[in-house]
Amino acid sequence: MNKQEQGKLVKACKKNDRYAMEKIYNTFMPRMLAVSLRYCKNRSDAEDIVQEAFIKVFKSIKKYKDQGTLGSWIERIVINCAIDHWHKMKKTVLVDNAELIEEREPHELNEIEQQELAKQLSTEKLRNLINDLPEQYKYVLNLYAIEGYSHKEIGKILKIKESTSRSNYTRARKKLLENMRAKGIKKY
Amino acid sequence: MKQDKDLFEELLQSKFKDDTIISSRDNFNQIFDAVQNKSDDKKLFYWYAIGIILLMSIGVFTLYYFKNIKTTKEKEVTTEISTPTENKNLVSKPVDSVYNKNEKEITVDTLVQPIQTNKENQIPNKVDVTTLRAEDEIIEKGVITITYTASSKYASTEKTKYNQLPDSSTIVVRKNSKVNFTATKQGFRRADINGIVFFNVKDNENQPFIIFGKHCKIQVTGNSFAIHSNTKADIMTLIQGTAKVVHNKTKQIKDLTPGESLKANNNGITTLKKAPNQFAWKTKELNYDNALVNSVIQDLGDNYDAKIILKNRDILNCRYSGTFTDDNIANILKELTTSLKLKLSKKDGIFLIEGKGCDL
Repeated sequence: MNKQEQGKLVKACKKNDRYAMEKIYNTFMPRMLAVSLRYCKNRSDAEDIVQEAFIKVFKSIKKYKDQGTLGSWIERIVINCAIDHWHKMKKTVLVDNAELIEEREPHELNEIEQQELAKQLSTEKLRNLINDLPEQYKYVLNLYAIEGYSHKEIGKILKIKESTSRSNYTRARKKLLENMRAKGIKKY
Repeated sequence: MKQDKDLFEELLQSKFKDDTIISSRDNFNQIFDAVQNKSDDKKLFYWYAIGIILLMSIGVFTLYYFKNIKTTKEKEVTTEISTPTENKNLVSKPVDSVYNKNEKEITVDTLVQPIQTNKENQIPNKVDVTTLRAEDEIIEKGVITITYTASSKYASTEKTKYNQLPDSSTIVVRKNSKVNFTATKQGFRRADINGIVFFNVKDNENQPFIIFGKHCKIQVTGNSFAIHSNTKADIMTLIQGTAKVVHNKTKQIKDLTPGESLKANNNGITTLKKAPNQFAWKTKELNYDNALVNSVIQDLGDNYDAKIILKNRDILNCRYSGTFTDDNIANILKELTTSLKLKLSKKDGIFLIEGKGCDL
């Protein structure tokens, strides 16, 4: 869907056009479900999050100002819905302390290993590995490594300290990397 | 958003960049319905808001209505029939400035209840000052009385302030004077006066305009009318239109013609040959017959705000006979001083009179 077509659909959505809404939903639903599933292990919950996000999208479509792509705007709403969902569901907050992190760090990826892992691990496998992480680690990792938020922003979004976000990420990254290497066919 | 990137992040981002999953269920209908409900909710919200505003308005109106009924009942029980000057429930508030805030003291005295001039309350017979009954002179409860007062500092000679009455008539209240205006339930406009007042009455056959002086009542129609009322006498001059005067005690009736002046005191009504000097600011005429210069100077001050200094106090004892038909204070004083062989000069807007005085 090109930008011009998107623009027309958004205009029609603002006029409460059902066809335009359905078109946008069908176009972006698969992508949004994939995003949601990175935050939520349970598929049914992930679909609920996406549904809630699309309701918000169409209710607030009048506020959409054609800045950035429509997809990334919807994606942000999906992530916000996932975070809201997490806030409702969470029972404990992991407060990591930088000092408590084990000294032994796994060695970093090199380019060859990165390419190999990319080949060996399917997206689904990788998603499952991320989903195996503790909830808070998963959110911090997703937001930092994939969505590109800073630890300060993550601290605000998840209502945790910036330092907690930083240490959560270090631990999540370490754990995920270990699991990735364990799942990979070849080990380095 | 952060800027730095490493291979781990690059790997994750590339893996999930175009990640899509086909949903097993189609939720669009539910989504669309939920969005529509939101629109309906918005509409409902507006209706609720309108409903609440209506309910509040009704509530306020009802409260106001019951409060008024209560006030009326209380007044019926505890107070006698009120006159505008006696009423204890008056609420005073200042009205607009005359020409200098420091020099004005005009108040509006308002009864608690709103004005009602509906026809049901009017007497079926046309009101006339000659047939006005005692009960017609009672100001009933629930009508608004507006009071115009002017302080001793307020003299409206050069910058005369015309106050508009609610019936569009205009009045000029001279210093130390007061007017109570009431649109009575009996169906006439009533003005109770004390001091010097000039009226320009808006003609209305259905609602006669009756001025209540200390010694007489005057029904005026579409005219200019000046009156000075105090405990000693009511002195009046009709400038334009017609007026009917009824003496309070003797019930003597007198029709006034334009230019005619009357005096009503305890003994009855007498016609004045010349316009009273109190109204010179309006009639532009001052008449003296062997009058003391003291009264001439007094009249000039009252009518034209003239500031005059006499070098010799005995000048006040001199007497003057004559008529001034000019409202130019300098011309009047010139005529006066020439006649009395006095010297007139002016400095900083103050007239200075020098010369030999007279013995009493």
